This record gives sequence, structure tokens and C-alpha cells, in this order.
Amino acid sequence: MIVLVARDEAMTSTNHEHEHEVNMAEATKTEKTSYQGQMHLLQKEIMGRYFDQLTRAAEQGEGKAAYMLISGNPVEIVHAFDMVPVYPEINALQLAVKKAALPFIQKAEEIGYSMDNCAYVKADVGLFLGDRKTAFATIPLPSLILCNYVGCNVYLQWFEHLAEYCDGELYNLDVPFLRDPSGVPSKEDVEYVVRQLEEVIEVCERLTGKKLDWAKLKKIVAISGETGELWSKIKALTKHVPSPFDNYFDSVTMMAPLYCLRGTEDGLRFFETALKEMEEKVRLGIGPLPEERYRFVIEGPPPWPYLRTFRDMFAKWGAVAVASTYSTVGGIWEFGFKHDPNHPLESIAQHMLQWNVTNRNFLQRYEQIARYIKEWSADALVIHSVKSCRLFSAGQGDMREYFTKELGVPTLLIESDIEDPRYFSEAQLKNRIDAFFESLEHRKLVRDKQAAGGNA
Amino acid sequence: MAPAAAPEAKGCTVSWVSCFGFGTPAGLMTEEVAGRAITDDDLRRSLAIYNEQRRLLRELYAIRAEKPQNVSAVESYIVTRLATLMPPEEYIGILNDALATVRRRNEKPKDRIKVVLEGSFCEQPPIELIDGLEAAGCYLMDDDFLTGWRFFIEDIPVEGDPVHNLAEAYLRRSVYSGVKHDTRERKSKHLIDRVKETGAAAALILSAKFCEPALFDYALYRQALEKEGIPHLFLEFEEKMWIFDKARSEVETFVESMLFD
Repeated sequence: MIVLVARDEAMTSTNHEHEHEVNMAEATKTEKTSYQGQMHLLQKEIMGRYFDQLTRAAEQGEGKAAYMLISGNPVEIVHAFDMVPVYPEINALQLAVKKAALPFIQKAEEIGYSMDNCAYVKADVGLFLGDRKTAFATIPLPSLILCNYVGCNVYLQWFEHLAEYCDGELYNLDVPFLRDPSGVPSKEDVEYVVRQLEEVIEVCERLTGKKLDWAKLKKIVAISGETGELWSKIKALTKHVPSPFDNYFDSVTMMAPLYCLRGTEDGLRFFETALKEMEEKVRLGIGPLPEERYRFVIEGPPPWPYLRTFRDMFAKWGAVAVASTYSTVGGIWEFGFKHDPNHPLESIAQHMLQWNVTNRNFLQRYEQIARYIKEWSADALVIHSVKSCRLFSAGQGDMREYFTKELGVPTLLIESDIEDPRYFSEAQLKNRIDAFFESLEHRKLVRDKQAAGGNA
Repeated sequence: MAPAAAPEAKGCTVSWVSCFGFGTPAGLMTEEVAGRAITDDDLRRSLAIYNEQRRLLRELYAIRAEKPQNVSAVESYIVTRLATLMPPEEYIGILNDALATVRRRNEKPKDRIKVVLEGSFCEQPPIELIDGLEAAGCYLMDDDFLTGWRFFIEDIPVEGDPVHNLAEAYLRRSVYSGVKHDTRERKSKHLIDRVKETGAAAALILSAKFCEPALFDYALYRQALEKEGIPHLFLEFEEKMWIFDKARSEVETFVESMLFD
């Protein structure tokens, strides 16, 4: 994930020194805001271990790889078989963050993928059809291609293509859309998903030659439950003023272990550490910026190739994200869901069906955002639309109308892309963001004046 | 949605929509709309009449594949699209008349290239575009226009449990669709097979702009077509387009390169 500058005292490992120097040099040269945190360092360490596991699987044949997608997946089952969970989405975004995605995107376009196809897929296909070596890991070929279809139809195409390009076994896990107005999946839908999870178990047994150890699965699901609960506590901390961390830019860093390492002791310890660190910050009343002037909710995935630049555009105004929908893309835990080890398959099914942003309808997304704005005391909503993803972006114009006109929430709609560096127009974005916060600044001044009795 | 038609005729289709869309037992939803109970015999009658409609449409396409000079793709499209506008009881008569007319024709084949068209399984290209493709020098031996109305490759049995038979037909006897996610065979197989069966010289991939499933399919089609040495042309359209020159000249150029290379 992103390498962020840490305070001097956090430098404990020599592995990080070189990068630290580079980042410190960059920081002084460009005067960018530095984001401090133990959590960031720990994240880099455990994610490094995760990527090493992928490399060992690829280069030494250690363990069988199971490809999955982020939105609502049964990683607990994969861990129960000691298979190696691989997330093409994470590989793609890592490439983007390291500014290495474009050649792979172009390679895919050369063989027939369109300018209008999702750039995550293009970057991944370009990588997959080469030697799969990256700066962060060598990606192993899949034994199992497990497409957890939780609302994103592109997932299905993506994994069908990968299945045509290799010998991995494809399983399409069909999770029905959450279509009842009550927002609760029907008993039949849960049973349908559970039956498929049982089939997935059979496939894993065949591929690994091992029978499922149910006690082990229950333990893993219990750890998932604890981990999810810690995550929801961490996210609740940003209700404080000032918020102890940025619930978008820091959350997208924190969520990597939530997907790659959910159900493992490593993952659990990470979130215990992160919670402690953030609670301490709340006690000390410190946040990620010298001064928190604006609190905003943000909808949409980030522009990975320009994450730091994008963050700085908001940091400049003292704007901190207190909630984000994208940080719930693999699961919504802040409203009470918890994996239940006593009903492992049912609760995994429940998580996939009910607690994933992409499996819910647009009105439910509005409710989620409105709840964030109210309960997390936000001043504004920022909607970041992305060219690659019609699933996320469709309807965002209407969303802006709804929040400004119906709810009176100042809302900014901007656009770039998740993966393709060609769609980021820095000057334009900066102008839009500056204009927006200038107008918020003006409103604030007017309000403060009125509060002070209108004295000039 | 179509205006109120004879409940028996619409029963089958509506019940599947409600089954997928509303989570209530399919029959109940349909019965509410129809205002009466729907029996297995109602469904069997509906299966039988749609079977006949589909059989006649298959015949139309078979005539096109054998003697494309006798029925243009535009004529075929308009006749097929009529199916979407009226109940089968009315439509079948019109279709039979059209088929009789076509069987009486004996046109000379023009100097055109034979192509199989793919990619327009959802949004429909304007008729002027289809006409333009032919006028630019193609015989469209096959296409995937209006696949919803031609979805089953053979008759659905009317004996036994009609709902079970319909479900089985979806699983085992339906046409290719990129959004069906049937992983039993490679996605490009049906296209390559169709090109070979019809003796087509090339494939024309005509997909709606921004249609993600079609664009993804194209990436696999292109690789497969190149591997098999089958020339192809990729074109994008929009349902509401009104300028056809660019598409037309692209096809003309493609046809020329095929005829004169």
C-alpha cells in the first residue's frame, strides 16, 4: 500500500530506513503534508508479509492460490484450507499507487480491451499475461478462481477471462442482489448462498486433498467477528472532534489487512494496535492535520495513481474525511454486523448478501451517506466519480441533486479514475476543490459573524 | 411494458420476471396481474404457441443463412421485431405470410461478403445502420438481434411440468449470451462455430457504445478470431445515433479489403 512518512521514533526497522530517507527528502523538497502513524508502518509490515506469501506461492509452489474479489468474499473458507488468498483488485491498485499500471493497461488494450473497459481489469490482465512479477510480489497463478459476484457484473467478466487464460478452476458464487425494500435478504437467498458455499468447500477439498476442519473454520470466523468489531469501533472514533484519522485516506490503507488477513491472528493484532493508537489520539485531541477546519463524507473510490496529490488537495483546506462509502466496499461493519462462529456459513452468506455496498440499492446508499453526515457531524459531501466504474458512478449526478436540494448538504462532484493515470486532470480538480472549500469558508465566515452578533 | 395482452400468452414471460425480480412465488405475482389462477395447462398452451413462433423465426434465419439474397437483414429485422409488439396469435399469421413470400423469391446473389454479426444482444441498432451495413457490401448471415425473442434453440417440451421444462430450457437449450455466464465452454466458441457453419468470410462485431459486457466479449472474440485467421471488423453504435457515414465508410473499406486482397 502507500508508504507514508512516519515520525522519527517510529523507525525501528532498517528495512524502512532507505524509504524513510527518500520520503523525508521528498517531504522537505515539495512541502507536502506528512502523515504520521504507527498504524501505517505496521500495515506496511504485515502487508509485506502477505505479499511475500504470494511470492513464495508463485516462485516456490508453497500453497495453492485462490483468487477472490474484495466485495463480500468468503476468505474465511480459503484460510481454513490454508490456501493463499489473492486479490486482483489489490494487485491492480498497488500497481497504480506505484505508478506502474499504465504499461499493463496498454498491453490489454493492444490485444482488444476497450478504452471504456474497467482499468482495474486491464491492468490485471496485462500483468497476468506477462510474467506476473511486480515490485511488491510475484503473483501466483490460481488453482481456484472464486468469483464472488456481489453486485459488480464486471467481476464476472474479469474472472471468466482469467479462467480462459489459465488452467485454474472457475467457480461463480452467485450472491443475489439485496432486493427486498426491507433491506434484509430472504431466507431462500441465504440458503441459496449457503448451498454454494458448501459447493465451494467441496471444490477446495478436491483441490487441496484435505477435508474441511470445521473447528478451524469456526475459529477463523470468530477471529473475523472480533476483527470486524474492532474495525467498527475504529470507524466510530472519527465521530470525535477532531477526528483522530482520515476515514478515507487512512481507512483505505487500514482496510487492506481487513480483506487480505481477515480471520488471521496477524490481522486481528493489527486492528487491536490500530484501535489503541487511534484511541490515544482521541485522548490527546490530535488528528491527521494541524487543524481540522472541515469534516466531509466522501463517496467513491480514490484515484490510486494520484492518492497523495488528491489527499493534499483536501489537506490544504484543513479538510478531513470523517466517513467514506469506499472504505465499506468489502463490508459494512459500523452498523452492527459481526461474523458468527456458531453459524459460520450463514453469517458469511449474510455478510455477502446484506453488508456490502455494491449489493445494495441506490436508496440504501443515500441512507448510508445521510447517516454518516448526521452521526459523524459532517459539513459536506464529496462525490468522486470514476470513469472505470459505472457501478459506483451511475446515478451520482442524481445523488448530488438529492443531497444539495433535499438535504441541504453542500456537495461537490468531481471525476477522475481509479487506475488509469490518463484521466486525472490535476489543475481542473484543484480548481473545483478550491472553489468548493472557498465557498464553505465564506459560509463559515458569515455564520461566525452572525453568531458574534453581526459585528464587522 | 406491452399493453394488456391475453393473460395466457404473457404468463410465462411475466412469471419469470417476477420470479427473479420480486422474490415472491412466480405464480402468485402473475395471478395477481391476470386476475385469475394460472394452471399448468395455461402454461403448456403458452409454451406451445411460443414454440411455434420461435420455430418460424428459426426458419426465417435458416433461409437467410442459405439464400441471403432472398431476404435482406432489414426485412428480417422488421419482421422479427414485430414479435415484440403483438401477441403470438396475431403475429404467427404475419410471420407465415412473410415466410411464404420469401420462399417464392429467386434473386441473384450480389457481389457481397458474407458476415456473421455479433454484439447487439441488448440495445438495438437503428434500422438505417443495419441497412447501411448491407448496402456497404455485406450479407448478414446471422445476427444476435432480439435474442430474447429467439432464446431457445429448439422446442420446449409441453408434456410434464411446464415450469421445470422452461427452467431446463434456460439451462440447456438457450442461445449464447455474454451475460448468461455459462462457463461450460469458451465464450468465443459459438461465434467461431457460426462463422464456419454459415460459410461466412468474416465477423462483424457491432456493439453498443459503453456496453461493458459486449466490450469484454470483444476482447476474447478478437483473440479467437485472430487465432482462427478469420477477418473481422469492430464497430460501435448508439441507439439514438443519426449520422451513419462513418460506420458505413468503415464497412465499405473493410469489404473492399476483403474483396480485392
